[in-house]
Amino acid sequence: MNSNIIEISGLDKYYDGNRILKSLNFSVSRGEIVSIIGRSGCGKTTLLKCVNLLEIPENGFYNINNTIFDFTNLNLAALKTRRIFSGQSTFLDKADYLGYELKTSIMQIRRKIALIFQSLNLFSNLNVLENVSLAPRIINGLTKEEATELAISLLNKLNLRDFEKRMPNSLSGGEAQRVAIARSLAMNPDVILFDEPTSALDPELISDFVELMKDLQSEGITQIIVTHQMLLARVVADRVMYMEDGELIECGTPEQIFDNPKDPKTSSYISKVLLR
Amino acid sequence: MTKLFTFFTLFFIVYSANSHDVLKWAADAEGNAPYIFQDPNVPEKLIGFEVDIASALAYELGLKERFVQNQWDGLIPGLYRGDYDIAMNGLEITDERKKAVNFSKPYYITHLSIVVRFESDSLRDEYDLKGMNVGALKNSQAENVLIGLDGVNVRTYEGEVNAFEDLQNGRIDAVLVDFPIALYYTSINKALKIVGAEVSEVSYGIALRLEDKQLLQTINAGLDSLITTGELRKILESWNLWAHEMAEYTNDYSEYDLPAIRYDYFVAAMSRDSSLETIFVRYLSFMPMVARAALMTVNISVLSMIIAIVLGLFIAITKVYGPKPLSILASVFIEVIRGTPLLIQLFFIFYALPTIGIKLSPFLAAIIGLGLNYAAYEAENYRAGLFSVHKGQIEAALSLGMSRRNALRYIVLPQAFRIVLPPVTNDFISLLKDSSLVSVITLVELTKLYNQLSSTYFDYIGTGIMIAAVYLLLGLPFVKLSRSIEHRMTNDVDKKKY
Repeated sequence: MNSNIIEISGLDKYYDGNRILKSLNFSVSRGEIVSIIGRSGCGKTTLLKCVNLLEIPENGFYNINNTIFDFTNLNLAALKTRRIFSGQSTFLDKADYLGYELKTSIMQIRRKIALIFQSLNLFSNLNVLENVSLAPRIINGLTKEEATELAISLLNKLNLRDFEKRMPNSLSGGEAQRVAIARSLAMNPDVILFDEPTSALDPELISDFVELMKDLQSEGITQIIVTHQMLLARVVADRVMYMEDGELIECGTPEQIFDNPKDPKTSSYISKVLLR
Repeated sequence: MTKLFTFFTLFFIVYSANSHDVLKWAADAEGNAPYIFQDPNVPEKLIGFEVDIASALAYELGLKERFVQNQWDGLIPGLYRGDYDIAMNGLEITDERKKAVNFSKPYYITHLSIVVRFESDSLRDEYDLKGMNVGALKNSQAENVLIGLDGVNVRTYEGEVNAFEDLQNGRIDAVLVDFPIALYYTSINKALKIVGAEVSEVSYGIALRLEDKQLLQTINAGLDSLITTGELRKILESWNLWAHEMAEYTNDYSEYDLPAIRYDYFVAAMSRDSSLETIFVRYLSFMPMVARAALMTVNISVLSMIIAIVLGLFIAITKVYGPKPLSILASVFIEVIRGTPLLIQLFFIFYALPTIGIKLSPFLAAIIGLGLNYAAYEAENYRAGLFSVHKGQIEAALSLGMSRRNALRYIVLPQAFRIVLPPVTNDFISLLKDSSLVSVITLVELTKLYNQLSSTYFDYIGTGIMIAAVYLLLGLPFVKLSRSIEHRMTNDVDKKKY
């Protein structure tokens, strides 16, 4: 068995003709926590969406948990125009362009690699319990009772006892984040991707969040976290990656990246954010 | 699907069933005294000299008569839809109409009369109308006569009551109408009078489809025997309508004069004092009809709204998610339906479709017409609702591994529903009122009933308020329902806010 749960090479992603990710190579080993740092707009969020396969890359060779995807020279725009069911893009799943079999395996990957959005995107029409129990019920075929039981146990685990009937817009930032995590955990994921998880948190809650990530790691869940909080990136991670302008510049242990960066780009960024 | 099809087929067959021993005759019972109108004392009963002639004719021919209500303007198109076999409602025999239908021999011959305000005495005949504002009924022989006279300002009206009201108010100087109308209106309204001169000659004939040659002979034979037996004269005398033209036409110059019992009945009924009590009793007597008309309005509105809601959703989804060609088709449908008047759409469905073999009952035509029309509006509502759902919501669903269809079903559509509910309710209220347009395709709903009652009793304000109140009452429960759904949904969201 491969010790890397995620291996991606030659990852290219374009938005409206702009190349957002440029021949990116990276891998994450099983149970590892990886922090990704870098300036806003350098492609961190896009990278997470490509790992989850919510976004389909134009180029890239994936080995995710021994499932292989070869997205070499994928012309999504052409595929889109070739498809009769084009529709209006807001509601489209790009996986729909790719044919039934590929789409099915992409959906399998999404179920095992959870993505926690920066804006969390809790389902605003559903209460907390339903937010957590919906996916296991309709995707994994759990009965309503089973799904509810699972959801309640996850909510209890995340200190959300008695929150079942609350609606998302009545939650604080920290509560909403834990609901989003519970929603992901309900699908029993191998990997969780966090996009700027601390942006909606009060500073004193960050240590709770670090503890939570460590707990998840001890359960064997691999985690990738995109953050601007250098302290968090350093404390929580086994490895840190620095990204700039769609490229992975440097990757190493927290000590190496923060104290002794090899690449001048990395050291320039680190010295700015750490006021050195 | 098959069941539905069977249902429609049955509906169709039952509706178009044609039995040979029935004389189906059509007229517009919208307050045309003395032709066909509601009995002032028993408003659910239709009376009039044409009602009597139709009965006598059917009896003479050994047929059962069946009356079919049809908008006056649509009497001839309705013949060709096959809703009835003859139309008899003051249709003047003109060359123009003869191109479209066969006319029987006249069942009544009369003339046009000039009606003026009681105090005016300058008018003697039609040549004095020069330079004046003169009213006439739309598409009537009177209108043609007036146009033929130089220098007359012609004003045309849908109904004679409006013309007489304008005359009384001084908006016009005279009204040129068929003698029976003039006679009956002036008999109960002493502010107006008939000027002696007889203008032109008017012959009423029974209209038949051009191809029904056999029936034409039968009808003519029937009319002949009504004339020879004196039955026609008896009817006309009872309505005070026998005059020298008829004597010449039937060659019956005998002197005897039957009492005009029908005419006297009408005059007596209409000149009763209008104390609050009698008005109250009269309104009370309207109630069964109002209830029936309200039921018709609600049935049409609810059924067409169901069509609109379901079809609208289908169109919206096709437009947003569908294949390009279908998406374009959906857009075209929406634009065409929104961009053209509902009235024309209804006429098209009711009168034009039968020419290609699709003959819908008035009820079916009404709910399909309204349903299609509102489907276009609902589709746009839904589309707006779909687009107002935040993109992150569907991203979150997809990133969990849900299919697009499930994401739509569990996340996007429920959220869109909440946004769309108020405008859809709004549309339903508007549909409730737009349903009044279906009276043009022969259905008697609230507005048609209002027209009938108000023109029978010349009571526009009282009946108007009554019918408007019924509309309001019909709409309120739906508004309330939608409010409570809305309230419940927002409550779900807000009440737990600490």
